[in-house]
Amino acid sequence: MVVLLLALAIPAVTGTALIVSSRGMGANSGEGNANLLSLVASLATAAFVIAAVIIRPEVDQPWLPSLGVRWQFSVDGISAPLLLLTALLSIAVVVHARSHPPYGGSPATFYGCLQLVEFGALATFFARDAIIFFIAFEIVLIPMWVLIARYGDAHDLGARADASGRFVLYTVLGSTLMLVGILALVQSAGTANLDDLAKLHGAGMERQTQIIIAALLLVGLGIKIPVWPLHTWLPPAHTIAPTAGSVLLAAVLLKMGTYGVVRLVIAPLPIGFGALAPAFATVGVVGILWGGLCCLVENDLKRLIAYSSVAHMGFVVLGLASGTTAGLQAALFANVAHGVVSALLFFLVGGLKARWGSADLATARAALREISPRLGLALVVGFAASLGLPGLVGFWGEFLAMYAAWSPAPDRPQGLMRVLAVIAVTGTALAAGYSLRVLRLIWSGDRVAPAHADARGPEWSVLAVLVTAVLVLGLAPGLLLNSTIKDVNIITSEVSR
Amino acid sequence: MSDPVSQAVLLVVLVPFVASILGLLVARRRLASAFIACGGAVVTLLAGAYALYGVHSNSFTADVSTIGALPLGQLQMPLNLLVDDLAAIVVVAVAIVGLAVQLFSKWYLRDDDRHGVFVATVSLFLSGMFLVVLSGDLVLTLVGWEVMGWCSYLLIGHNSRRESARKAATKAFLVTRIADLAFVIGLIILAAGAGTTSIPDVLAHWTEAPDRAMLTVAMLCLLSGVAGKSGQFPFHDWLPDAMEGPTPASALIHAATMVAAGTFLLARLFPIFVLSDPARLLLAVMTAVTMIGAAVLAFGQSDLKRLLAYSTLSQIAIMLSALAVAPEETGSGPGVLHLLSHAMFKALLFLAIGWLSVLVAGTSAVAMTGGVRRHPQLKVPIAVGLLALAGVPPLVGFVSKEYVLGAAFDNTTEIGSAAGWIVLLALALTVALTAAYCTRAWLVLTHLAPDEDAIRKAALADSRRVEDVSLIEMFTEPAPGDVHPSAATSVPTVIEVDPDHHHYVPIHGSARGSIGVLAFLSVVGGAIIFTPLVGVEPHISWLLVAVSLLLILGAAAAVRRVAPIDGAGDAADRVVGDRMVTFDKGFGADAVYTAVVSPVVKLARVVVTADREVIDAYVRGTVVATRLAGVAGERAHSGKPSSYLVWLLLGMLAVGVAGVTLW
Repeated sequence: MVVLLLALAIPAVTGTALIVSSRGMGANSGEGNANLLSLVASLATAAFVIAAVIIRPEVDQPWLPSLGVRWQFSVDGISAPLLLLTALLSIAVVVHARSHPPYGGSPATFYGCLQLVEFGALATFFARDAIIFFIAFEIVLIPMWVLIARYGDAHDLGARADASGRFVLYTVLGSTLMLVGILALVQSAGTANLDDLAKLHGAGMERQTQIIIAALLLVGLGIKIPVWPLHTWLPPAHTIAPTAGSVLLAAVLLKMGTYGVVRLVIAPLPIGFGALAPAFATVGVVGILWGGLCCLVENDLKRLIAYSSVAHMGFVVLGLASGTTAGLQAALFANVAHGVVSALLFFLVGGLKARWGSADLATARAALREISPRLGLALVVGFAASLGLPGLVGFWGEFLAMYAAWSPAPDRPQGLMRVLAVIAVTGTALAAGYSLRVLRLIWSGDRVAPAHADARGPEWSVLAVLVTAVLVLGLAPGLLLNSTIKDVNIITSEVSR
Repeated sequence: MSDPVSQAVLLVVLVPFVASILGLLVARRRLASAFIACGGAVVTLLAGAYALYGVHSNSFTADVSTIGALPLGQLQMPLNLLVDDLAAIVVVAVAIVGLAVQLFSKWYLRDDDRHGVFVATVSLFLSGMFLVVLSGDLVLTLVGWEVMGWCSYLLIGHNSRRESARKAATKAFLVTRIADLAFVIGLIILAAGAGTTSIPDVLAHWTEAPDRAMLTVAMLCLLSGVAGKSGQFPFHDWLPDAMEGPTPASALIHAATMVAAGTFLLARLFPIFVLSDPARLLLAVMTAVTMIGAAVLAFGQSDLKRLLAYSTLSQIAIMLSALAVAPEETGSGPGVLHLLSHAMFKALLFLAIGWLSVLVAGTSAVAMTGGVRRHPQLKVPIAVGLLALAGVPPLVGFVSKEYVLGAAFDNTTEIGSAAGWIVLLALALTVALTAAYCTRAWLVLTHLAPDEDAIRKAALADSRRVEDVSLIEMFTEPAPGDVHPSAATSVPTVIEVDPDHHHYVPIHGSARGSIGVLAFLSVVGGAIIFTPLVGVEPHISWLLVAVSLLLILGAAAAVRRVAPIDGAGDAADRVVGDRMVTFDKGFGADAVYTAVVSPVVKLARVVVTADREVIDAYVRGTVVATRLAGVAGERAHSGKPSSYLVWLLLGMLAVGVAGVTLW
């Protein structure tokens, strides 16, 4: 129990302290101190998160008795991978910032915001109470807004204001819908405990009620995932955000949306979700094609990766909608896979943007393979994983999602789901198209000027660790799938043979 | 798991993989990376040979578990390897070619700064190929299949400083990937029907399953992927372009192994493939078109490496056609036999041509004219390769081709399906065409131009005076002072210096040895039919032998007759003439591919516009709407009592109306 609370308290306290003391820490002298403090905090947090994942403690204290809201935190197989992902990437962003320090404001505030984002994300994944989940979900918004608005791309102040404002307003709209949905859910189910909600399986709730609540929650969470056509906040936010912001946004914040769908919609509202699943799957598949097509012609590398996120999350949505154990497993795997791959790509592109001065693909550059083999290698692995190359982490989730869509749960419309599976497969060709396009534009070639330095030190260590993760999880998908299967079986009520 | 054969099977897949990772880590150190790559290949070959021994000594057939089954609810995914006699012999053949190619690369890429990356990628490729061959699970097959595709992309684009190599690499990957879309669907259908991805269980389920229509859909989908990887019409055009890759990669991937993987897969799934007549008919038509079309194109190529590429397409069509027509009791034996034989002689031809290309600095027919005559050490390997390719007895190509012909013939007599006749006629035509382009290549390579003839005569005359200089040295490297004055001006010296090969280093003994081994196997490999290694009866129809010999001799004589004695001595110059440019472009298949892709790019532009102007317009619209509402609200608070009175009255009216209607 102490372990879990410490895992939450350390980033919260460190983050607050850094922000409060940011005036005292000057822009230059404070940089190193703030980074070091942040690094120590992240390492300690990660240690406690790992401990929590291993010993699975539970916290259960009353908070608002009149509303039945309790401080309930625990870890299960579904949240454990996401907790680890959050904790490890929080270290990675701090380490990476040693190579590419933040600009645009006080470093202490920057690192403080990173810590607060980590705190909010961890609390979201730890939470076992729907209300606490919502509160934690909201905590990340403001620090992320600060990161985008103050530390984002310095070229265009207007774009920064637009992107950060759009991010906050759009996601707050989603949160509002989600809050209404959560309150309705808690009210009609009679409990706010997520485990109890999952065990009830929507017992005692009318079909109509389930559908309405599920629709509210799906739209609200769909903004966060993001699901087509609610995705237009994502490309500008990713493009403008600093590297750390893009990484956390793609690898952690988007995951909160899918995680919420599993916890708040699929588990407690099976009938309502079943009724909406065909539509949900359809928008997911439209997102796969939409994102893939945008990537084929997009000329800003960061935007391109943002659109590819829309496509990848489409596969997650498809898996979720299938309603089978295989589909849910696929979605949870693809969720983490996208976290790792997009983190790798955003670290990489963030570093490239710092070297190039922009992320424009139309400008002729030196070929990475010629002048910076390490960045080149990471880029090849990253895009190979992005196009779903088997043997790398991107493959399993997407392949299984397509499989699950082909043979969905009995109450899903089989014909439609099969058509969607076929369309989703064509999305993998689009992924190959844009991945090879990027490699051809910036990885291969004969230009060696303008030269820039290869990745080394902290930057290279972060990239190397992520490349390794892409390989290891791709070669041993059982690591993740075995973690989630038990709790997935509870949700689908399907006994694994 | 503990038994040594299973461990050998695991090693076959693991060792090349580990070698590729280690090789990448030491990629900058030439000797270390070459040692790891070649050492890995040796260990793999030994493990493969042991597995072959194990399979046949105690008829061992087993599932070998790998990373454990994945928990996926109702879908079983055991991810086992499967070793049986079919897999074991192919493993050994691939391992032999793999080792030969690694040894050859060490010499061929001696001046390449990316030698280490190249051999590591080849190791990774081998791992993928072994995974496909040893896979007992549809998903593992897919993994190996795509890993090979990716390595193929990297190796074709090895010289990424050249635009043509980058283009060819991208084209190869995209064409095969698009073909693989249906392939993935096919695998999903098979797995979904059986509830498992284990190949033995999938076979058991679908042979019993009544749903033949769905099986046919699945098989048609699989054929798409097979056609893509194997370069069958209409996906064929990527393979000739893939010759942009270094020759060792072409020998291994684009001749001997990856492009033949489809044959292996269909052989593995033969028990259910044979149940679907529409799929077999489609494969027959596809392969018939490819084997004839590619053979015709091969004849008209101005580049001998591309000639070999087209001949690969044609030969792979032959092995696939065997699976399209073989009666059920014949099984996949003839197709697999041709796979093995083609792997040997085509790898031999590629390596020999690669060797020659270093000596004459180029692979075009013009550059290679008389190459064998000037470099007689290549005479035997190239002759063996071309004879085997043409199917001249008793070489391995003859034996395997006769089996394919036999399968087609049996089909026409026993089953009498349209597929049998299509394939039989196409094969007959292809035998003649193959002999024709082989003869053409040989005549070009051994051509003696009239002016060179003069040099030779002069050299002979000289040699009577200068007795301590050997004959060959005199006309291979004629020093200006030594030759006859009239011939000195027209001496064909080395035309251009390939930038990759600044200085000539004599071929390494290991590279030469591996070519020798391949040549030896190409000559005697046909004897494999007398062993139990491939599931075929030692039986050859003499009628078919006679017919094919007549076709070969006729075609060869015809080409010999039209071959000019001047110029490059190229029969194609006279037969194809100016149309050679069209042949080089593969009859414009590129235009078809572009026509498929360009609408997608246009659609992408439409989508980007829609994203900005339609979907995001609603988002921006909320901003405008909010602002307008704010302005309107502000205007409403004008500060004049009269306007407030109006609002008050309106409000009371609204409340009244609401009260009346809602009551």
